[in-house]
Amino acid sequence: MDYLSAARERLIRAQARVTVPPRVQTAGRYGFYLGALVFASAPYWLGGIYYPDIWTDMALWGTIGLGLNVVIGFAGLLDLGYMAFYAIGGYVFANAALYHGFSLWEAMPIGAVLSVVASAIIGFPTLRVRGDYLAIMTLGFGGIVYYAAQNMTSLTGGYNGLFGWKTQSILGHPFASPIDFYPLALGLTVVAALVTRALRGSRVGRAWSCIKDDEVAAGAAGIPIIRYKLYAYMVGAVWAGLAGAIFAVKQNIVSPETFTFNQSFFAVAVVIMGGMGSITGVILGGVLYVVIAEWMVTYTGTLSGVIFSSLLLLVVLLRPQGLIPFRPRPPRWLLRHYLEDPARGTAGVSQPDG
Amino acid sequence: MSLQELLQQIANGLVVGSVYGLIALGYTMVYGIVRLINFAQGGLYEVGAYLGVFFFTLMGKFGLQYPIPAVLITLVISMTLTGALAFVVERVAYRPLRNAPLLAPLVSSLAMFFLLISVVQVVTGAEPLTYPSVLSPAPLHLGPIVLSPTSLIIFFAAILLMVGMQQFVRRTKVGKAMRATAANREAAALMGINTTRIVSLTFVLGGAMGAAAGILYGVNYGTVTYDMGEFGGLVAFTAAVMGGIGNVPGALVGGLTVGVLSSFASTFLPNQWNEAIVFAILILILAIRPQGILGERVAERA
Amino acid sequence: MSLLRVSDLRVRYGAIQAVRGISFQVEEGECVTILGANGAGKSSTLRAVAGLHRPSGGSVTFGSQVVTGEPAHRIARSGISLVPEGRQVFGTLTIRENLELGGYVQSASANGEALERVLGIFPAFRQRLGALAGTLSGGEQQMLALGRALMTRPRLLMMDEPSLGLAPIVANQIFGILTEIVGSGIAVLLVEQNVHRALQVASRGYVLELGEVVLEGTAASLLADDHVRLAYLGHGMGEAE
Repeated sequence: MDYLSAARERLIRAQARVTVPPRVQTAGRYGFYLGALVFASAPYWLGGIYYPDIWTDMALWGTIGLGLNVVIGFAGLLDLGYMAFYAIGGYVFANAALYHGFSLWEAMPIGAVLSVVASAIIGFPTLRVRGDYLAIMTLGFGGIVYYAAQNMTSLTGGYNGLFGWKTQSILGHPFASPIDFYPLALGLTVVAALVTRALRGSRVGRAWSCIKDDEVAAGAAGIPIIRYKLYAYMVGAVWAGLAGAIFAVKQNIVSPETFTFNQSFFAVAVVIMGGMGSITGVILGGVLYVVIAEWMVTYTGTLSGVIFSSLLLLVVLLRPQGLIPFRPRPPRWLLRHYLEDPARGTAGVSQPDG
Repeated sequence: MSLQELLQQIANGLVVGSVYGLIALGYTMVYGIVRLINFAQGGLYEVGAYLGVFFFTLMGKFGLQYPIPAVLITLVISMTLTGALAFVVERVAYRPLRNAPLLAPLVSSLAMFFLLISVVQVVTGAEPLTYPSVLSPAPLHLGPIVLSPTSLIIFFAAILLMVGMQQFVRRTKVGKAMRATAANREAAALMGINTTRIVSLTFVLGGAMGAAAGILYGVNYGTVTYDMGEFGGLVAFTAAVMGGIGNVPGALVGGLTVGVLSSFASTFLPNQWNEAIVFAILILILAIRPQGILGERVAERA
Repeated sequence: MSLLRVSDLRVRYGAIQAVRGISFQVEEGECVTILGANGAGKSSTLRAVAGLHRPSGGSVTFGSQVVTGEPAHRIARSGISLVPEGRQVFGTLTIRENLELGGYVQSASANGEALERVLGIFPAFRQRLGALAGTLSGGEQQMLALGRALMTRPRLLMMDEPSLGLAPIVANQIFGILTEIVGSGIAVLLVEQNVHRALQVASRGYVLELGEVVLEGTAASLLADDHVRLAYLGHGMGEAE
């Protein structure tokens, strides 16, 4: 057994020992909700002046994480071009607002719908290939959208991007200062969290989870695999499309550099660091990303790439269940390999005959 | 387009394609053995290119400027160092996840790729670096085609490396052990083959090929940039799939094909669409013919 | 001293204990068979001895060496050859390459001699050395796997279900060759569903049930044993009399 397996085994054994009594669990949950409330309202009691942008970014990245979580965490599909949908949301809003006089309210659903349409167009041919090919194809798709954003100047403004729409407002309340976007972005995160959580527990969610665990078995059990993968891909695209529009309004500009491969990579990192499939985990993953990224940009510039890739590597190697300890149960394949006590409910493994 | 232009584009495409083929070789060899797309390959290619600049410059300082020995020494040193780096990549990002589901090693190799290009970015400050011009820029006229001597040498060097690698895998004892490990890992171990070491070796050779490609690319174009690994890696992956992933001669065929295709794309469309076209080709190939042109050996690990 | 001494061997797959502390020996030049139903732990035992699966307990001694838990390639180099269940030839390689890989650990000249010797046993391959192993029939693949295992002159040859999925006539050929191999002084450890055939070749046998040795003895005594006859030979005392 190599050094990593030993470390992992220690971690898993330590987690398996912890059994939390139900009353403590309930108290813990309320404590957590309270903490979340305090944290989410922080920009207000901090006076709204403390890096107002950061809070909106956290909410937006939380939403990005939640959307991509449907694709990676629920359905087990590695999508390396997710930010393409964020770009579509942003550019659709910019075009609708600049040339057709649409408001944010009107443009957001259009952006979401077009993101979904794009995801169906790209997903239909790609989702039938193997998992690793899919990752490459989505990477290619993200690349195409990025270069299209750079080159289709009439639609996207090219390198300079699109900007100069009139100030947006909700219910007569204008988005004037950065903190004005926060409730909107936070609202989107909450909706995304509730919707994706409901989906996870639904019939569709169970189908996704089957596909993720064992695609062949899921197919044999009669689940239309490609159709359900396409659903996951489309549902994921919705949230990026919506968040992209808010991001555009907040930045006052849409330009290609927000939708590079790096951004899509960070989105994947958010989901995996947060713990694939865990709603709370990926939101915290998004928060963590913004905190580190902002801090890095301020103090150390390009180091953020190094930090994030190292973190991601460590998480995959040592804590495949994500950084944030919300799901004490490690994945089944780890249990299978490192916990060999039937009393702990190890997964059944086929035994070679003889 | 006149016949002359057509031939010229084909020649240009073959030169670029030979470099892609070299990178693709790394993907294809690793995939053949461990059934994993080693994303880190694009990063190794980039690291190799930057190591190349470093050693070229260093040799210039020591007064070693005869072009051919300088290129050779740089190639050998950078390939060795990048090979060592590939060894570390395998040890850290692949080996501990051998028994994990596909997503885990995929993400870890992706993280490795990003780590490599980020480190290059941090170390070099994201500035493009210039390769010293190695040979006289006087162009050669080969019938209707005009090529720089440099690009000719690059083409032949890349082909030589690829053919050499293919012969190594076909004929040598270790090469046979590699093919046996790819075909059936357990049975290979029963023959007394240390399959863990063979997997390591495959990563190392793949990384060394990537480094060679990076240096040849740098010598050909004169500059290297910190984002070359992303595009180069993707294009080379397309090439590997086109040739049939896991198929060593296929990497050469795929590389040349992608090179010529992208060369044509850049004549018919404005230059800035080049990348988008290559990505579109990639998606089309994967969607329509994932088993590649040569149509061999598509291994399943869903 | 026995050639192979296995004591208290335990093998588990996750929660499932496939082999629960079995002990057996194989003497120099002897053919021993392990009998048992599907799931009794026969293959698991061979895989553990060969190093393909790390035992969870017990020890395996080969000659004077303790090889428990060694990786498969080291055990192969020490002189144990396993012909695995389902042949496992290298389908994308030629017959010649398959055979040469069988002698991977020895020098090129030794490999050349070994190739001649093995082609002497399997003359049909001589004309087809360039053919891909994947194109061979099941019986031919089994012979190739056997030939591949013989390339190193192993001191112990282990065979896992050599007749599985083969026509009776082909299985007979394989067993004919196996008898010759035993006659040439190579020790053989045989796992086989066809108890009759196995007990014809072997001089001793062990019966495994649910991962434990329930019976052991000479081939003759096992053939005469009521339990063996009832459970594995398909006829009871009444019929035999």
